[in-house]
Amino acid sequence: MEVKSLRKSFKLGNNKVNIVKDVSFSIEHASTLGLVGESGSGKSTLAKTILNLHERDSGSVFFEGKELLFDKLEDRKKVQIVFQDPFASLDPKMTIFDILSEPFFIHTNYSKDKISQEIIKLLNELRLPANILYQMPHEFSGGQRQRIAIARSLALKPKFLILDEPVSALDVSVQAQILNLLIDLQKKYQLTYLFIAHDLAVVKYVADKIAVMKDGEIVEIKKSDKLFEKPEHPYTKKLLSSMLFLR
Amino acid sequence: MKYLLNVKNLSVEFNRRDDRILAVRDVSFEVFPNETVAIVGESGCGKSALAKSILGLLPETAKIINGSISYDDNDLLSLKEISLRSIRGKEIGMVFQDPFLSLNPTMKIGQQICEALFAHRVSSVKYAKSICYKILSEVRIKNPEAVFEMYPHQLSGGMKQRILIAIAVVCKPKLLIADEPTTALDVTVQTQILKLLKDLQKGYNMSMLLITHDMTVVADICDKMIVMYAGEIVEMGKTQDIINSPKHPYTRMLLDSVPTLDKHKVFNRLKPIDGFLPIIDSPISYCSFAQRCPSAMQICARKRPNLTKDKQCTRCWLYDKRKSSKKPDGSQITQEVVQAGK
Repeated sequence: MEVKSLRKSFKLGNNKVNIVKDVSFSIEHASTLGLVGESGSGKSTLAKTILNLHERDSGSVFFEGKELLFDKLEDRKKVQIVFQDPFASLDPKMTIFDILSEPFFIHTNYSKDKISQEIIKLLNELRLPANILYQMPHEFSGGQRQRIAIARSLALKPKFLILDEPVSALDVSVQAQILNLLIDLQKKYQLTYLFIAHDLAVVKYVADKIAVMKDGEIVEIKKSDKLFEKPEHPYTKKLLSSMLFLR
Repeated sequence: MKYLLNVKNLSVEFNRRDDRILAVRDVSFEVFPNETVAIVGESGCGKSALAKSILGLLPETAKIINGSISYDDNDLLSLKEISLRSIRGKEIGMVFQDPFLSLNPTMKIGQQICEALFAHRVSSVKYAKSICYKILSEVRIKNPEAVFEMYPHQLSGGMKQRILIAIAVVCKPKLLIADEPTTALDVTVQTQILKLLKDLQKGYNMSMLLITHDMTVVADICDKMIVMYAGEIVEMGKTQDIINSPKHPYTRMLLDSVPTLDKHKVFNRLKPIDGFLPIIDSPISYCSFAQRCPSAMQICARKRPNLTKDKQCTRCWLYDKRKSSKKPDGSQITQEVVQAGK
């Protein structure tokens, strides 16, 4: 996975505000890049710009050597995203079956039976009971909803997953479940993750490499152990010194 | 020493159509002057309901069915609304969780702070303004005169939280209740706000009741901590004692599920707590954590444990004296707990 000089700006009245300024990075196959930074630093905008959910000003995204063009359905299938708030990212009027079958209807021409089989497989994978298919999102807890959202993103077997603060809306005990689940899935399917978070401890737990973002730029990118041992950029130092310790 | 706040055997229930939920069950604790007490637990364990019942801010669907709350010899539960108002804000200040929702978007910052002053202390506009400027600089807002004239949408999350703290402490309360004051904020801003709270507490000789689910915040600023589970206190004691040697299996598991930045630790898989918070609708005769507890015994399903009476008190059959006389299956259980702890 490679991102090359991505830029994104928004218009604010007559002014142009640059939110993502010339960001480039690459992620190795089946590894995790953690992306940290304060709110407003452009993390989520970067994620959405990679997927072309925001139209980019310039720059390109390569996956396995080929450029991803998101106007092709074929390419959109390869990269998926899990959003921060599981209370906002599931349509409250759809049943779980509708939510999970939507990707298949858009991207495949499977028969209904085949879709049901695939969905049951997904539910097993995410340790969700199979009898939830005809329930509505409001019947579930935050952790279960986030698992449903992850199931939807994995439906088409993407190789690259963007996780935009997947655990920050969850309780600590549930947070640990989801993090472990994500690690297990990565090992099993050789997934590549871009993991966005503001909690350094969480990022350290899952990421191989960490990129620190400030004001739309990546100021430091390093192996995660090295970043914690020898932070170089003043902002990284500030971020590390503001961590709280349990013991 | 004499307590400032004393909550005794408090139980709160919520009624929703035909459903009844016991949100707070038989909770007793004290807060002494100049003390910082944390209440920790998962969402839905009754932390916020407890805080709201202290200030009489519970919604209409809630009812206090038992117990008493006394503040400095005033019984808060028997006070009329009008006398409660003279305590709310003046004696006990409160900071709410979400700085984006708890300021009035159509009022200038200055007006919102002065509102609290006019309700309790001052009548002169000029004097109120000067106090406002002072409090704004005390919560480290760089340009008080300018911020006084601003609207909430012009400020960042961290600044809004500072304004909320300013509103809560402007009347110099003796007790500050902070409900998840840093949950919605960034890490760097979080440390600033925590430091501010610490400094204000010292400067004003306040006590603080901090409600949070973040163990690292508790470890940072609190003297005493209370762990709640399904509406009841399961462990209570000095923060350092509990974090270094948790007794109740729930506390231990809660601590194990927090990712840490400990350099000396090799990669350790996090241990999540399986299962869900039970919904409790009537007084129960068993341990509420038994279903999720790795060291549950037979007695846990039959009898409710009492809160032990030592310094670090726990509500668990592993420590309840009524049980310790019978040893047989206890020793095996203790081994299991030790293993879970590793």
